[in-house]
Amino acid sequence: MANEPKQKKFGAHIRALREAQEISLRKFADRAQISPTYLSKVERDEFPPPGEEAVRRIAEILGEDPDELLALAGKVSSDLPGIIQQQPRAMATFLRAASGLSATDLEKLARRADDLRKKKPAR
Amino acid sequence: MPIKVKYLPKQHIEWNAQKLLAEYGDRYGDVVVPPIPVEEILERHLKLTLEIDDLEARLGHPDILGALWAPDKLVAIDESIEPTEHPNKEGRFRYTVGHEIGHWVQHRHYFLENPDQGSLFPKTASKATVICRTSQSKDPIERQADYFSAYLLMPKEMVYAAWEKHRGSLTPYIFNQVARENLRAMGFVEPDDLLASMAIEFVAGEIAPIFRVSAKAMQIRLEELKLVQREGGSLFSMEGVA
Repeated sequence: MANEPKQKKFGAHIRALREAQEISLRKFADRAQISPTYLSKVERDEFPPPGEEAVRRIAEILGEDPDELLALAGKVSSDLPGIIQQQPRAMATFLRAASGLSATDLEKLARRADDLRKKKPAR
Repeated sequence: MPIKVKYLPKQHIEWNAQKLLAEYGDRYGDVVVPPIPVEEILERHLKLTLEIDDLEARLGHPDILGALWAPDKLVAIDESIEPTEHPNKEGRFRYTVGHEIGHWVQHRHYFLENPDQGSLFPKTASKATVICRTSQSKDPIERQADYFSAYLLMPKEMVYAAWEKHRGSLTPYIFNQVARENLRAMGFVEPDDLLASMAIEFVAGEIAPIFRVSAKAMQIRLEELKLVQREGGSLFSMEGVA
């Protein structure tokens, strides 16, 4: 799903995934802890996507990556602003430098960052 | 203009409903006790999309509880009867879902062969194949969908089993002189007709939750199976309203 075009609408996307997994509308709404009427309107993209917590629950039910689904919902994970603000200049520079790299290259960078972190004692 | 459908005897409609339930059972496990999972049948088994919406706003007519867009494999149910937010409408919701399934199973070929025909409100909802209103006089196509829903939600064998379990035997409830006098002795002063309706509705209302249907739907089914009757039955029946 990650390779699909970004123009895809959040509601249509989750409806397609939900139906592919044969989860009925009202069962899904119950598990996501949102009202079925609201979910149905979200699925038709008549209403904006729900809040971050609900999107995370939806991602978990559907087995989707929460960050991908949040992006599709036009949201950024709530932990990211804090991460950037801890080292605003360095992090912004890093993100700008990394912008435009392929997903594979970004994964390599992330692995490298993990290695660096493991060499140093935490904090 | 409502679409003209071929006459279907009730037994045939009942058979259609039983067949669908058996097919669902083959794939997802036999349904041996109520309630019948109508939404699962519609969404998982028949692969129809279910939407909840304000159908008056969408279709421009009041009193619409359900609609089917056959070529789109889409069913919409009015949000006023969505049971999570309106728990007392669960019976109505499930009956409407069963009703739309009835249209899909029994009538879809009328619309799929000729998608231009058959809209009940061509000007405002040209794409909707069947729109089911609460207050319309029932055309044969609507009655066939109603019967289908009743037979799907309340299969005969399950109704007999539930009745026997709940009431201790298969003896029908007959509103007769004895029952009437029992109620009069309990202080009911309503006219006979009203008293009979109240008693029968009460009896049906005790079975209805087992099937998650309305008391009215249950009553009609029980009357059809002759498990509740008015007068004319045995005068020696000791059945009363507890």
